[in-house]
Amino acid sequence: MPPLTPHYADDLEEGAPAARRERLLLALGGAFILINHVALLLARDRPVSHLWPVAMWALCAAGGHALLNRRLPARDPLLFPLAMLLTGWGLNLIARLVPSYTVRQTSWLVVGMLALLALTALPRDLRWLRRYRYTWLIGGLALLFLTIFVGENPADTGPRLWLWLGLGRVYYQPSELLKILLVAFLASYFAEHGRYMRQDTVRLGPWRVPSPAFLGPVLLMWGVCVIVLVWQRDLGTATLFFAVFMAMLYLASGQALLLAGGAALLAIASAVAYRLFDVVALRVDIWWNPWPTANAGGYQIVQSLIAVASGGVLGQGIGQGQPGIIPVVHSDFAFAAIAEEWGLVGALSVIGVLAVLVVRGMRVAAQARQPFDMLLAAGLSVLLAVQGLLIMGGVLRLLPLTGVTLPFISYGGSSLLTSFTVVGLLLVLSERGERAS
Amino acid sequence: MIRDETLSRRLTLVGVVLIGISLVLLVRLLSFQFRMNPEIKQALADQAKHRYQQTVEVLPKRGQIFDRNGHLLATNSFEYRIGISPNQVVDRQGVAFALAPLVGLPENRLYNLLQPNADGTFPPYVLLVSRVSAEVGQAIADLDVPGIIIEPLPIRIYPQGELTAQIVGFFAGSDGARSSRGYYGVEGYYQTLLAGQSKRVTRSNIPLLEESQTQATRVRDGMDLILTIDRDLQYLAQEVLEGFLAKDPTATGGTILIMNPRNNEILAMANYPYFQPGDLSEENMKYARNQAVADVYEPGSIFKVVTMALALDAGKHDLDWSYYDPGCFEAGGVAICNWDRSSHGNPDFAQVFIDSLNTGTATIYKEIGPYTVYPKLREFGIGSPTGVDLEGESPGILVEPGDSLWSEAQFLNNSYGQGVSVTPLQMLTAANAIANDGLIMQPHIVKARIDGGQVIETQPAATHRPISEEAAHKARDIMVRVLRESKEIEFEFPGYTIAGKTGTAEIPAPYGYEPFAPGNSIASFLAFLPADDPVVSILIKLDRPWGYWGSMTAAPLAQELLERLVVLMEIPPDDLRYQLVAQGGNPFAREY
Repeated sequence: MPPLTPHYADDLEEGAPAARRERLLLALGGAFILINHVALLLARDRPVSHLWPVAMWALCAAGGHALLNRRLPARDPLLFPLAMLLTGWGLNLIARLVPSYTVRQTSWLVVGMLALLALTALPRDLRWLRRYRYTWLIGGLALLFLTIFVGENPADTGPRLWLWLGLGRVYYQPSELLKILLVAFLASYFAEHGRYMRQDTVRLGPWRVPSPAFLGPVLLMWGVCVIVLVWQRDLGTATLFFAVFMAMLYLASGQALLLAGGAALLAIASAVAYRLFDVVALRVDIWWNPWPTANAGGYQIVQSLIAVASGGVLGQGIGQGQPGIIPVVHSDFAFAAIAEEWGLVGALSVIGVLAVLVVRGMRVAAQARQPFDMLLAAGLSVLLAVQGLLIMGGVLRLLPLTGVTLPFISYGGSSLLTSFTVVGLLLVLSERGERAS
Repeated sequence: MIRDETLSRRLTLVGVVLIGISLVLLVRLLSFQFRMNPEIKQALADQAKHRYQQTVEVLPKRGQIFDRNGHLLATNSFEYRIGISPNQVVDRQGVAFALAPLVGLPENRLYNLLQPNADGTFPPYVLLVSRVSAEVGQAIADLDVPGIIIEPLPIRIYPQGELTAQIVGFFAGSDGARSSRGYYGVEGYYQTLLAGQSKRVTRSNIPLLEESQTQATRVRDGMDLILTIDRDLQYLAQEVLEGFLAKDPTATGGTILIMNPRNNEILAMANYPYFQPGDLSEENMKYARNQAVADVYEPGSIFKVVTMALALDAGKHDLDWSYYDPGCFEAGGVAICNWDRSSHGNPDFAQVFIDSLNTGTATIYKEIGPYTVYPKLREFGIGSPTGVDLEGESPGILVEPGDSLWSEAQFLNNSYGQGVSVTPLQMLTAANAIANDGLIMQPHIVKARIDGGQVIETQPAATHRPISEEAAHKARDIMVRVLRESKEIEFEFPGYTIAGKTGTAEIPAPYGYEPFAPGNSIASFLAFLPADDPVVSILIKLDRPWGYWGSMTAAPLAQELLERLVVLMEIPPDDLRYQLVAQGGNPFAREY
């Protein structure tokens, strides 16, 4: 490892243009969000004081930028602005769809921001996360288990554990936290055992697969997570875990066969779930043909399709469409609302921004020097990517609806907090990668 | 362990897979705008259009209803339905505090209504109160609460309440099983005119575009109607009727009808039991119909005025006709008897009616024969609706030769008003032919329609001439003698010449009629005055009075009614009237 101090000085000099780039991107994003919000106030005839969420956003962006400059001068300059752009867009959307939730979502933005900054203050080698992987994961699982006993499980929206805070009831969804903990666990486990993975294999017909002794513990931990989620009917998150697990297993082992095998397994699991769970059967049937039940079970997806179709290329403009007709539009169907009011251009922009965010995360992975860093960065990027694809595919009726949130944009404190934590971790990792090179 | 080269290859593969899936998403998204099946795209676009535009019906103002002197009988107002979209409410506590007293909900309950559901979503609409008055609605609108939805509900106000309720009918909004329209009476009959023409407006939901997308077709307000009803006479009729019924132990109801026989305008039409406008309960709905036009009854002896006029017109009978009265005789297997079942000797034509002899009228009918009588009765309007402009008119029942129920006994019964059913309006309309020199005018209740600024008067129209003027005058003179000479009729009216007739009808029961007993008759009285120049005619019908006979129940009540009516209508006594005519003035100060 090269000495730290001279590099540090270099970084400060080289970091300046990167910081400027980040500042420029944040300013552009801020302008976009401000224009959206002003347009909303005009369309809805609301007073100027309702611009306060944009002000809060700007405060978070400026504060975050300043602190990141000090703590992580060599960070990736795109990650933070892109995350802030999507979050601000989400704030626009919530102020437009459910004004009464604006306060909450803005508060969660602040909480997310603080979490992100707190991560940068922790030891940069992330040993705290790597070393105590079982503790973290079992802690997360325990929290998830707790929801079975004391949590509230409102029909169809996933389990929630509520915690009493001073200001009122705040819900937190432990499965959101578990996402990060699982990725960290897998990264840590694979990084430690990866070197034996090649040698320690068993023959399965013509193929060589990693031995059960190696895969056993990880399959156990992962299996428990998925089973609990399936038990709680949080099938979207279960699917997400599955996809992330397969991707990380592939990255660690390099056996493309595992991807194919995983896909086959997922297909079989889906078929079984279709037979076993009414919820799954219902969702798949609605997905396959929502039109006969367009006024009942298929209402949500049909209204979503109508919203997307009515958006046109440039959209109806914020506050001027009717996305409110779609049930729970502010969380599961945020993408449909964007497609309606910002049109094709807006929808493509969301996909583009998310894609660039993921690609930058992959780049962080590629530049990583440590296997743990690489696997963590890649896992978190895949997590964001798959989650986005799952819900966007669901909204567009390419996939059955799974009820996961659109990262950064959808309403939901737990989800926003998770997304910010992911970005925080990626920022820390990017700093480490830059420093090392 | 991991070499850079293999690592980037693996990361690339994962990236390529993710990008591949994103491309599918991209193509799907593009296909929505560019490559979708045109039919589906059209269907989606149509549905989407519904979400951006709403076609709403802009309702016209329903026409008002006035009495002949301009007193309001029916007018419009609004109530408001108050709802709220909880997702638009930021300050729930403040909104709950401000709204609670206005919508009449406890504050904490209202606060809870504004909370999201258990799953964190909001209902798009929560109904707070289904009806509040215009003042409360305005107060709520003034609060300017975000998300509040105030919908106006047109309501109908009847300032005269039960007084004219059965005449005017009622308007029911879209609540309950009834659709939004007028029912019964004038409201029902003139539904189309009163309702006017609504306008369908396509409104954009996008606030800034609202104006440019409205269609420009005119709303045509409903016409106002002026009725022939005189509120004061109506009140008099109701008060007199109610006064009698309050004192009588067996009476179940009744009708007082006041008309102008010259043009058959209906001046008052009071029935008991009353109907309460605005009360849609089943109990109250039983009385929604106007008994004077909807209910039929066997009129009894007052029907003899028709027999009399008909006979005088048919030519076989004149004032010098007389017959031997046996008291009772048998025809077609049925006994036909006088009210006292005794012989009155050899009465002449007029005496038959003065003493109300059933044997006399039956003998007259027998001599004329059914093939002359029934066409004449038709001309008097018996057995068919008068065509009055009120909803729910009944045609009455007249059985004629050829009908399976017809018999000779029935025919002879008809001569004194049994075996034939009429509505009170039919009865008075037929009698009005005598008052109006043999001419029947179209009975009506709307005097004028006001369309915008234009007043369209209803023109009096003659519908039938059942009898000659001469026959009418002869009949009239006999009717004057009836009131003057009958020893049974308790009716004294010095100073005025009044033509009239009393009647006591038996009430049909299975296999015949109810037995002779207090409360088993319908007593009636009809009259017009001044007999030589009639301006008003009345019909009193009392259901099941304690005093069996019309001459002892309906007649004194008519006297009470007329004593006050001549004052109200300013009809001078004969001597004063002749003086006024001699001086070339108009004897009738008030125009009716």
